[in-house]
Amino acid sequence: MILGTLVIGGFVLLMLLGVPVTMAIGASAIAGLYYAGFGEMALVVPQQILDGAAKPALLAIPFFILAGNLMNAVGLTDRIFNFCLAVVGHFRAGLAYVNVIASLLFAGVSGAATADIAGLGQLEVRAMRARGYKPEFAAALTVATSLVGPIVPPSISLIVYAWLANESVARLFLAGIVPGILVALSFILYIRVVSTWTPMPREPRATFRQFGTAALEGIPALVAPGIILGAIIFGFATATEAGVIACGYSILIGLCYRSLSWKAAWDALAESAVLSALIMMIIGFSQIMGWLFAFEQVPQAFASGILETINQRWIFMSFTIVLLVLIGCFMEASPAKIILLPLLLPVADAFGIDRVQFGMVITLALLLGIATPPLGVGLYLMSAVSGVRFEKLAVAILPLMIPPIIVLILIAAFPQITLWLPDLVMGPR
Amino acid sequence: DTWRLSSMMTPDSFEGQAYQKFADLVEEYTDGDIDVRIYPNEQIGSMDSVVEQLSQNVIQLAPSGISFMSRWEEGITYAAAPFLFDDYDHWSNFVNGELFQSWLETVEEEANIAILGNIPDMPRGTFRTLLSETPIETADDIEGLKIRQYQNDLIIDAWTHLGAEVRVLPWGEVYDGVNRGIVSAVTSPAEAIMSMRFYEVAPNIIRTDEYPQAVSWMMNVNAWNALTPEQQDAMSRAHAEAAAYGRELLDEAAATLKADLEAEEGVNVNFDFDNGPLVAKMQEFYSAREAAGELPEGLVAAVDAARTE
Amino acid sequence: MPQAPRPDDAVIGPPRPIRHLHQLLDGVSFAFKIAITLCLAVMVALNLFNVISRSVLGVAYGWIFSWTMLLFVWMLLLGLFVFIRDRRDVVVDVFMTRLPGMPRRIAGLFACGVGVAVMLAILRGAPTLLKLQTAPMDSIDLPIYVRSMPLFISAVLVLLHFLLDFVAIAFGWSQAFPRTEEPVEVGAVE
Ligand code: NA
Ligand code: NA
Repeated sequence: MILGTLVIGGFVLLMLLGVPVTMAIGASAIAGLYYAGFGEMALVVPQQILDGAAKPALLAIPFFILAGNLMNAVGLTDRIFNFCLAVVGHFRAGLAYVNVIASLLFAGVSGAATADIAGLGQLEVRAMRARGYKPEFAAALTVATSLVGPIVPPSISLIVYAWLANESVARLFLAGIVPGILVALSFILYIRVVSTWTPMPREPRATFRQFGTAALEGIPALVAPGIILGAIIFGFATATEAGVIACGYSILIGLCYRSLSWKAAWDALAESAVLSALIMMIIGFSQIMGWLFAFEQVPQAFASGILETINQRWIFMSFTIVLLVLIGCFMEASPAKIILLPLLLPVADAFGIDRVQFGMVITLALLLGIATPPLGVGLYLMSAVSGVRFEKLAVAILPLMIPPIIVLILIAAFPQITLWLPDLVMGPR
Repeated sequence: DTWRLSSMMTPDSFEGQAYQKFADLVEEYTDGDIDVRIYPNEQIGSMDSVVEQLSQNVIQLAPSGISFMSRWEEGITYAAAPFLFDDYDHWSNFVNGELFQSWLETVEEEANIAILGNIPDMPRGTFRTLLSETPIETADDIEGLKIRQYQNDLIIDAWTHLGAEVRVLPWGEVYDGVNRGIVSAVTSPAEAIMSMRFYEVAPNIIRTDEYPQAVSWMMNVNAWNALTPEQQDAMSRAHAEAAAYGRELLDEAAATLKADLEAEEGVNVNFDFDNGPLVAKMQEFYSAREAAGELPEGLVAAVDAARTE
Repeated sequence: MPQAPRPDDAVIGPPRPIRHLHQLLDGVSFAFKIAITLCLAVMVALNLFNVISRSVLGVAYGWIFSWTMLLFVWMLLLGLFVFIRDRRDVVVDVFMTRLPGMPRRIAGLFACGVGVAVMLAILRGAPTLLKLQTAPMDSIDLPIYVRSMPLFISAVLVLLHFLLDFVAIAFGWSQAFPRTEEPVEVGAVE
């Protein structure tokens, strides 16, 4: 408990004192290491950085970052946006809806939220900014909507849970579809409500001719998700390689339209490499913290005392949500899941909670962590991609956490939301 | 004292239950002097980094496959050589034989890692299986099969020799990989079929006995030497009993596995598959390697000697 | 990149050897940026080739995954120095830029000191880790430490970077937490 407070408090303090984030994470974790008496285990520091950054599951991120940069370079992203604008732009806050829907479409392709932010983030923020939205709102909305990615299949998070909980991947994938759509709908509703009192830009209704042009020019861009999805579904590419396919397609389009210069391609590659390094090293440095917490069983110490006093299903569910959302603010989702599930699963079983429903609650609750300060990888990535200051982004995202939290509570309260579709397709059990 | 034990498995797997048993017994036999703390699910790092932590006495125990020691002695890889051993007894004789034990001594000198107890005491799964989308009736059906393997040169070369088309995928991506047709078959210990749900995507299951597997309780030598003889004895007894408990759980699971699998819709189980042709074909492979001087010195002789014992 | 001189910067510039060190670090950072860009380019090219070869010819190459992972790790580790040197790391300086001269200077020195300490902690583990990694990698005939080495190379350079910053702030050659304009789009293409 003391150790946890020291490390987390130290990290927040260092960050507010203007220490660069990677160094603040590393320093607080290393200080905790010495405090806990493991100072002589010098090997752990570089080893955990390497272990954390170099995971095969993270390989998809640089590919999607590059795909996003290449799509921008060849003008593909503009075409998608012009088309969406022609369709829904004349609604108030039309572009904000486009942001949500684009994330939902992208969710069907990618398995990680960071891939969504990297792939769509730049273009969405740039387009929304150009049309008069506040930059921090545009950036925050993009991070928030990326949460849909890992709930809708394919999903790396759900595969990890399936392994930990000895649960069917197919069932979990099916179970994620309805909650994913609900999260997207909750954002649409939020924008609709907020735009009644906050002025949001709207575009003039497109004429029939404009609509036709946008649709025609948009075709190569609009089929891109279809091609990527097709490549995965028909087994041409793994989930990791999907980003590579997207890169290849962008290059192909760039060659066809002669819109990709060597210079632009090189710049896109260089920018993507630097950005990937930044994000992965943040993940790598935070792995030292994760290792220390796991080694000293900090989250378990925090949870187990309280768990013993819980005697009702709804209290347990509420406690789980609060615990995971809090822990998600300071830890990566996968290690947090790996550390806490052995503790939580037996209790969930005892209360008769379906493991598929529980998995959806856990996944979404921990997922919020990528969008919540202080340690939110999604926020760091967005800040680096868009140039919006981290602290502004961290404030702007807070109200946007309300819609997914409401959905989270609904999922926890009503098992049918998750279980209806898998029961329908695979039969109830 | 605290002994930290890292495992790749979940607490409710049969291995996880055996580790808990071990921790309870050690507490009992040492009157609470030694507290075994279990870290399941690779909580404190991938097995490769756990091995490094083990060597540095950051943690003290890491039960898993012995092949992780091949970092210090290449020959150890051959404990998992496909279709090299007739059965579990043959394999046990080899592992406890002179050659393999001399390899373990090298590891102990270089990495400070030794083995607690007798390796074959705790089998890791009853036997190896092959799961595929389309039924495999004879050895010829392996020709052209798109099979998933892990990144290991020997395994890849061996299955390529058997005619399969090997594709490397991380264990966590296998289910998805079969589902999407990137691979159409996967090899797996029998016990993992249920937990990984492979039968949902690859419902045709045969028993191959590709190679025997056991859980080696790798431990830090310095931590071991720091114990009193009584404590060492308590540890050894706890290990032997936990291993026996693991075997018991395994037998129970094996007794119902076939029935459990066949109860799933569309699953087709053949545990009487004749692997003779595969063993024969692999003998050419090992002979060719031996002739080319690519096998560790004395391996073929040691394998033969283990057979006649 | 060295910080552009600002009107409120101190008048005296750094002495010649320090300037040379800065130029050296900038040169290394430039070279590393080219290296990591090439890493990414090769990763994409190899995997694109693998996907096409697998779907058209039905042949896939296992070594491509191993090499992709190795290049990926190199890209991240060398990139550490690049993004620190380019000052791309996320910094929350909203409070610090409001501080008056002296406290601000101390805070600047402190931030550099933390960076130095973290790099020293990384380097302290280097000998032990490298000694454990002499065996060859799976399917690539190079020792495992070849994969980890760039972390320590970057750590030495980052250490130098923070030391130089520390000295520059201490002697008043550059200002701690210079007020920057709201950064504009840093996307690849505008
Ligand atoms: Na997804
Ligand atoms: Na979005």
